[in-house]
Amino acid sequence: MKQELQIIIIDDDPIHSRVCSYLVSTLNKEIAIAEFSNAADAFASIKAGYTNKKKSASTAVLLNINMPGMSGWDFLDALRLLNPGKLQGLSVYVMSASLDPADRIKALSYDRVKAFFMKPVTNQIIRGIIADVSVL
Amino acid sequence: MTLYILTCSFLALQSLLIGKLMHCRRQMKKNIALAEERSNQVQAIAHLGLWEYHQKEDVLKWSENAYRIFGFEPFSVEPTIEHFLSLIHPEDAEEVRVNFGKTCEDCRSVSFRVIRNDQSIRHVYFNCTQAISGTDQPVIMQGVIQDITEIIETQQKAAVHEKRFDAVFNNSLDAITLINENGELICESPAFNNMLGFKQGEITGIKHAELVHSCDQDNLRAFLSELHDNPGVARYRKLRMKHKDGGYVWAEGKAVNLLHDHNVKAIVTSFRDVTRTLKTETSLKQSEINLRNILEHADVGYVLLDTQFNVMAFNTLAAKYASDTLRVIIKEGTYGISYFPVDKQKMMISLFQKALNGKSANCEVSYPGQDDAPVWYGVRIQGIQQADGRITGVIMSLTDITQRKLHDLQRARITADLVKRNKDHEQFAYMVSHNLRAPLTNIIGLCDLLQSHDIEEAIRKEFIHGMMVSAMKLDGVIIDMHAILSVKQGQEEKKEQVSMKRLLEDVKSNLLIPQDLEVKITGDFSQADGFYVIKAYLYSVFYNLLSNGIKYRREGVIPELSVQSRVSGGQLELLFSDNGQGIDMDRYGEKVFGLYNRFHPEKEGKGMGLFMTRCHAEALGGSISVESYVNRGSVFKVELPL
Repeated sequence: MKQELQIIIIDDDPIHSRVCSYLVSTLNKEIAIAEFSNAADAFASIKAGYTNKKKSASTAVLLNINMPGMSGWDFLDALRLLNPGKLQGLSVYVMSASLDPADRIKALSYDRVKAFFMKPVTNQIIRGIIADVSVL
Repeated sequence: MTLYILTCSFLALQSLLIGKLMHCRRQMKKNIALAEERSNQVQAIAHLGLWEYHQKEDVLKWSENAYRIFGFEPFSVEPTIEHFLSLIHPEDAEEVRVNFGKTCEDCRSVSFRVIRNDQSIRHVYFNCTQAISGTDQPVIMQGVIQDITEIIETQQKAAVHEKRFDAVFNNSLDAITLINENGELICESPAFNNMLGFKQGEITGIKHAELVHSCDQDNLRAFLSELHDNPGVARYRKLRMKHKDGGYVWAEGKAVNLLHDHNVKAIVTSFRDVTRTLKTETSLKQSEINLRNILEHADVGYVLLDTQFNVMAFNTLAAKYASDTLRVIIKEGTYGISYFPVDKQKMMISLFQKALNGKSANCEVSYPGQDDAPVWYGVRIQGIQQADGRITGVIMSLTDITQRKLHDLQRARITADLVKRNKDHEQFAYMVSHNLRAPLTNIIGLCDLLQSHDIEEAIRKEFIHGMMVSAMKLDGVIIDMHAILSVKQGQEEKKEQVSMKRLLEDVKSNLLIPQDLEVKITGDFSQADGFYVIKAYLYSVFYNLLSNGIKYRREGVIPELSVQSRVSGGQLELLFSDNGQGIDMDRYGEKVFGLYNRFHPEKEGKGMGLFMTRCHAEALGGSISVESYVNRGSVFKVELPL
């Protein structure tokens, strides 16, 4: 049985979001894509049960770190406080321009974070994420 | 003694009287009765009695008073030799019996005791003054008997008195001497001989001046003249006296001139050896002087207080500190607490009390010094502990730690500056990786996508536009970096006199205010207007804070902005108040003045404004802080050195 997949892109940089969504669409047109330019809106949506519309769905969140208002770190902290039932099948992939190894270590310290990717985003990275989520 | 002389003279008078009586017996019969009565009166006063013994007839006759001396009423008994002998005290009887015969022949006298009928014992003097004889043989013996009990008792009392005096004199610790008018020693107590190492009597009769140390001869002369001028008054002195072994001893005591007293006729001196006491005192004094010297040359001010916190002692440095900072002159014997400012007295009492209870305290205090620059003291307060552990006061030690304190403050400033620079550095590194690299990664990503051949034309155009936008963004960051770096390096820029009132007008005319928006901007520079400053930086501060006030206004509320200047603590304070959206300080407090930090994502902005404001305030040697409440507004305070 083929699984339902959805990808949520959270980044204040619209160009990066566009590149991501383009790459996803070239690989698999079936995947549902949601773009958020600020983390607070994305979080509210997840909290409201966005991911649970389809019980069998797996969700990949592509999360930027350095954003005005709610940062990527704030988002991850807030996520940790949510009921894990609402987050069934949700994986976070951090995508940052940061060169600081401390950011990678910090990101991976969150259980929900599956991987840390340094920008620029490539076809290969998106392919890897889709494959990763599909297996789950 | 007087009594004895009196008795003797009466005895002589008596013999005279008796002789006359015998010769004139027949011729002066008429006067006999009168004479006898007189005789009896004289006898009674002098405790005298007469006796007569007619050997041939063996008749003994007593005068009236003789009866009384023997304890009888006159003529109440018949006196006989046996009777007379029986009255004599048994211990004296033999001597009297032996001497009785001789007595008459040699006209000798004898004294003995008699026991009266009432058992009282009297001392009696008995003699035989004359014998009248018709032939060669004496026929009548006669003489006097005298009651000398009182004389004997007085003599005994005098003897006891003298013995007691001797006991005191010989056993006194004081070295006592009597010196006659020629300055010779009449007598000296054993203590005196002991003091100077002589044997008893060895120096009696020598001139007392010979016993005084040559260095003290003037002293002695002055003393003697003082005594001479004040007879009967005790005078005190301390002088050195020669010891027999060649050394000397310090003697201290008094002397009284009693030369005018006929019974004494001497200067009486009473002295003690104080050599050891003096040595102890001298060494104590020396150690006190040593201690004083140490205290005076210490870098520490000391004040000693008693248990009532009265000042017992202090060194020069402590007095200087008190006068420099508290503007007081401390004095011994005054209440120590009173020198402190009223608001500090309670605290000092509590600290001193703790010290009395054995708990020492350390603190650092600052006072405005002579030129009003703060002077810092390290103060230590502890109890003065005696050898037996008792605490008998409080010692307060003061160290001038102003230099150290200034160094500390300088170090703290340098440290704070280094911490800030380090933070800036980190922030810069962060900026490089995030803000500088993010648009660059976009360009790289888009380039990569554009290289593929199967890309739709519309998307290709979109991506090229995206590359353009990212490149512009990258350029923007580089321009910002340049702006920031030029502020940091631009501290050498020229200062000029700036009127803040005019500056505000200048800024107002350049603010970008949306059309149809009413904005109220007021300025109050009544306390300070003119300011010597780098104008461009102050302009930036005004512009950024005012434009933020308009940009982050509350929906539906007319923005009201005010700028106020005031001078406080040697600094110029600029207060920028607005009634805008405010910043959630609990959440963003640390980030408010950080680079590329934005708190209102819905508004356009790079997060540069407040960062640049901070950079400019700091470049002017000042600082910026903010108080802000969400939906109420913010007050930014810029402090600049005058």
